[in-house]
Amino acid sequence: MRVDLDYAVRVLPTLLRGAVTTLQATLGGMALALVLGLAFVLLLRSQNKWVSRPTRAVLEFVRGTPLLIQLFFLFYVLPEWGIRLGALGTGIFALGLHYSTYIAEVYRAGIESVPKGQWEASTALSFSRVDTWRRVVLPQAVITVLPMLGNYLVAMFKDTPLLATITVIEMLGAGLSAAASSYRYFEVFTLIGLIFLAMSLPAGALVRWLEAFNKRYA
Amino acid sequence: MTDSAGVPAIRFTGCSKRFGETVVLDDFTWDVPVGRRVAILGPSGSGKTTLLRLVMTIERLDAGVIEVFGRPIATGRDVPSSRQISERQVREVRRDVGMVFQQFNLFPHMSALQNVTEAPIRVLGKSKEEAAEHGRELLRQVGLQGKEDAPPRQLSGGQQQRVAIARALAMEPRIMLFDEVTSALDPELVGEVLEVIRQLAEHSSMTMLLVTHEIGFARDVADEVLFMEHGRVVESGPPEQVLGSPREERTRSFLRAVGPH
Ligand SMILES: Nc1ncnc2c1ncn2[C@@H]1O[C@H](COP(=O)(O)OP(=O)(O)O)[C@@H](O)[C@H]1O
Ligand SMILES: [Mg+2]
Repeated sequence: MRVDLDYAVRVLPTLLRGAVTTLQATLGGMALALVLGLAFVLLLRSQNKWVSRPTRAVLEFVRGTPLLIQLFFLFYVLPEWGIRLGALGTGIFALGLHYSTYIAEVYRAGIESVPKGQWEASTALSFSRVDTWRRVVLPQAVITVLPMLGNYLVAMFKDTPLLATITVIEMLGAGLSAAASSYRYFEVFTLIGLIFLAMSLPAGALVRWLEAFNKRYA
Repeated sequence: MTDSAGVPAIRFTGCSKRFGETVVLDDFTWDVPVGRRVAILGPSGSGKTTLLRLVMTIERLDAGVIEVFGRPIATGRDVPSSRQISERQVREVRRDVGMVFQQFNLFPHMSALQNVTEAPIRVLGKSKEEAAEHGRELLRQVGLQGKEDAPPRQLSGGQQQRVAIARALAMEPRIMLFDEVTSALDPELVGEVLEVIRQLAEHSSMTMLLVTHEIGFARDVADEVLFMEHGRVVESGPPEQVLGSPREERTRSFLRAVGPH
């Protein structure tokens, strides 16, 4: 087999454009998952059964169905409801929603790991409920679970090729369509592997940094 | 100060508290005059911590009323709904009360100075600069100059407890509650914390409830000693009397058990 370096150089920009989309989907999805996850965990902890129980049901439903099916569902059903997010927008929404249900559990574990004495000190200092959450409980909860959040970031990154199924031209989609016409599968997939690796190295470094941060402050 | 003569700093009226089957406080009625320093003694499990936590509204009162400078801070379920108090009123009255815990309960994700300034900024609405200036002054007062930026984990237990004292003082409470603040410390660190409280007692007019097993310290700082058991007052009075010549046999045997002084 001959490796066609010229072809590799020519196809690289297409793949890199795909890589940018992959990155957008990962970061957008993660940002959404972090915010939605927080909303879910606060609803889950509500004293009101009519709030906490439906929340639990929604979380279990989303966690219990495959991301791929959620992608298809949102991609075909949201437009019927008049919600047009575009392919990438839908992909980010699906990733964010799916992962938020796991991240809600991560937050929950983090919140429960905050010692009771922290709540008591907040009461003794007359903090409002909002300040108690915002300044005392959540920062500690998040520091504790940072490494776990980092792992979910990496997992989400690896799930982004699923977005190709709803016509998002991320890296894998871009590579598949290039290879389909050139038959240069070796070059295309070697490059994709290398780009993924190049992107996971900083992600791995980030996770290690989060772990170190966690050791210092948790 | 606007306290009309005779209004106590803290007034317990018919206070009861139970955890499941355990009755911790039973129809407890007691006035703490303004400026009084009370040492609270008693065997483990007698309800000392619970008493302080009820004043601090960390525990919910089952029956009775606790008032702080004449204003209710906690009401039991037996109090008619017209006399129940709102969460806002509780927060308002609670600003007069500060508490120092056995386990410090410092905020681990904040520096020593932030621990001290956070509540004045969030709760009293002080500016960052004003809070920081006062905070530095308080840390200096408790002998922690130069430790402003240290996170709690880099401080010894004695230093952490002194930060916790500064943190409570930063809210400028008129009442301070100390719950066995030296029990979690290595013996060689107990002295520095007690010294800070001694100084505080000497240079301020705050009302203080001090739960302690340090009899010598109680004798020095307190002007009243309350000995309790099973959620009831066994006896109370001036330190020389309760500690020197206790009337009740229970008090005598407790003092014998905690050792010579
Ligand atoms: N949160 C709680 N749940 C159940 N029982 C409790 C709780 N807090 C205290 N108690 C019980 O109440 C009694 C009094 O406790 P406490 O006020 O801590 O006593 P002290 O401080 O004098 O040692 C003890 O029997 C203790 O086991
Ligand atoms: Mg106790």
